Amino acid sequence: MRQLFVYLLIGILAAAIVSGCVSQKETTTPTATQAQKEVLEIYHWWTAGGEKEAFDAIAKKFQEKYPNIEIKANPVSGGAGVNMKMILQSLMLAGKPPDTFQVHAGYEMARYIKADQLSPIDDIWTDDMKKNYPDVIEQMVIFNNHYYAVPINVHRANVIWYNKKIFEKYGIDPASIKTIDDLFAVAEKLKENGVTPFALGDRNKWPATQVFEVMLVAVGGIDYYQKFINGEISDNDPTLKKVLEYFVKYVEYSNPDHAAKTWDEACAMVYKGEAAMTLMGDWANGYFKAKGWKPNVDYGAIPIPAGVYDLVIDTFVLPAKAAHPDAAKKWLSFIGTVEAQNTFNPIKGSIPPRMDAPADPYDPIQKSFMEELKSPNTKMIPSIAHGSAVPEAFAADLNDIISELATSKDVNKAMTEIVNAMKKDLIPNKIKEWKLS
Amino acid sequence: MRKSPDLPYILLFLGPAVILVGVFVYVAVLWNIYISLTDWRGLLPSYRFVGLLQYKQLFHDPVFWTSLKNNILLLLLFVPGSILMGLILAIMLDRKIKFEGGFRTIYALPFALSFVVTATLWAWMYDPSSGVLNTLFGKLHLEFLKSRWITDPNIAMYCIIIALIWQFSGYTMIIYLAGIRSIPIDHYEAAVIDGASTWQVYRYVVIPQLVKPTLSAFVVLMVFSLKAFDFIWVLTRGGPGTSTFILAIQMYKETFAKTNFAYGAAIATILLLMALAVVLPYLYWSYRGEKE
Repeated sequence: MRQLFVYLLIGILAAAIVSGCVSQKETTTPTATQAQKEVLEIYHWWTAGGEKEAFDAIAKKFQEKYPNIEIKANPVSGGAGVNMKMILQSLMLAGKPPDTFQVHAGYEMARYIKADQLSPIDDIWTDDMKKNYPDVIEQMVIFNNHYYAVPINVHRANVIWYNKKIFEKYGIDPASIKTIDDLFAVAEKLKENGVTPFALGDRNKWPATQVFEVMLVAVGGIDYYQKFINGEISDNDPTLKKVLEYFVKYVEYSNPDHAAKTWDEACAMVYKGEAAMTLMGDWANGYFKAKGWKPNVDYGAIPIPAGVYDLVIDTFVLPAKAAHPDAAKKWLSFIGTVEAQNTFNPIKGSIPPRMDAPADPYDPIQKSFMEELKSPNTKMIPSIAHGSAVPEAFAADLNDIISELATSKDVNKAMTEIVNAMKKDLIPNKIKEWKLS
Repeated sequence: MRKSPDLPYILLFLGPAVILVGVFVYVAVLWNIYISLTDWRGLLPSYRFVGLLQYKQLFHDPVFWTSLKNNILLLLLFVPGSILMGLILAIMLDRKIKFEGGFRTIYALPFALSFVVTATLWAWMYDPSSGVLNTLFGKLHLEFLKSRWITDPNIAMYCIIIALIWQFSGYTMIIYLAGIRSIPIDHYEAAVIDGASTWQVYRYVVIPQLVKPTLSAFVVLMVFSLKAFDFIWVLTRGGPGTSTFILAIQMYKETFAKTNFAYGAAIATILLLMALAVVLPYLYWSYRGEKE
């Protein structure tokens, strides 16, 4: 027995000594580093072609401006940040967040804000920024009267991308398409000529939800869209039924194998002439360019409905327990400038959220989008499918409901399920009221 | 205590491993069970005790029953399918054919590949308009074999099962090949001397001696069918709709997409119980078998 205690004691002492050495090493290193260089740890999901180059360009420019800050980038691949969110969730719960990370504006940030894991950055938002950011975009980063993020780019979710050759062959004037009924009239004409009007690839579900949200604003209008994302839809709402019927109609004009394709495979159908057009965000612009197509020569973009901008906004935030908050604030201030946004967005394929950014570095489609963003006649809406307009719990349910509707065509069942999901997952998680008009 | 003079050493060297396993496996499991009895929702932990409320909601959730049904379907079709296919492949390879090494590699390779890779390949194959399956059937004028594959919610789960059998039959083939080759040659000779046909040799001599490999493969396949998350997630994302949800996918959605931690923990606990129902009988059987 005595011998046993001796051995255990030796083991404990050894463990204590080892951990002591480790602890000492860990405390020494940050002190030494801090004396000469600041560190900025950034998590983002821009790893695909074009995205990576865009981030590298802006990181380089930031480095030139602040030579004493070392950027430690942590790219996590996976479209729309699905994988990064899991990692971030674990880091946040462990109390060890990065200094800043990428997140979509709007409700995607809400999970962190409700848990007090993000710091307000009201001081970052200068009067200059407030003046030059559109109101709805500004609204997307405000919770409980505080600013929590700085938008770096604007993508657009409500664009019809069309094959110019097909349109010319059947005498279709893209300028005549302004409403959803205009679009369906064109689709009907194409169908009569044996052309598949729409390409849809909803294997990952969110593309179908994106179509739904476009139908929501196109059929119901801005006010109804606002009611929907505020959770103010009642049972048996006739407008919701009409929206869902329009969605089903869109699917019926689409390729029947939509559940087997991804969004880029749907774009490939347009590229190959197997379908006339596809409803997709403006990242499709990058797809067609990468295929060697020229904007307004081989393909074109039609906002649908006209006069509406469906926003998909990437932002960066300041975690409450960031190890280097000063460096993070410099990054946040920097990405709110024209210089940063016009370095990043021409490469990324999106447009800058600041309305005072010069349009020179952009392509013709991007330029027309920038003009629309600045126009006082343009109405802006936050995207449902891309994590902005509604709590994530509701968005996850909506993805499954709309995905099933795309196959079953059962409008009544979908209506019931949407209203139930709204009561169960939107209203209990609601922390902001949208005012879009 | 005095029986073994090595006891202090035993405790000293086993201690760290036991502590690590205890903390990171068993404490984590108990922690998960505890969370499933709370109302935690969102990233801010909340440990208000609500008893079996999460399980009650779970039983009223139609998605849960879809997930459970699909898990059971995997158990009933994927497991025996893989075992049968592996056995057939092993028996054929055991016939001293040419290029045996090459064939063995070809059949075993799928198991070595990442599920994400193979799921992506099968997604391309299952595409009704441009996938190789429908294209091939079209070229061979076998129109009746064409299908909507994973785009049809009624058959999507069966498409997944076929793909998984393809992926795992190489694994079971290797197990059976090892089992077959551990049978002494005397058994074959004795059977042949007694006038047994080839079929009878396999039926009465070989297969009865493959009980152990069968059970080993059985347990691995059973446990995998409970947690076949990544393959299904990449192939169908649980769709169309929720038609190919399994419990692991529903758990992922609730925990990470919706931050319903308590609800997700309840699903995880049920998965744990199902896994135990598979593993415990096997352990008991192994223990009893060794004693005999």
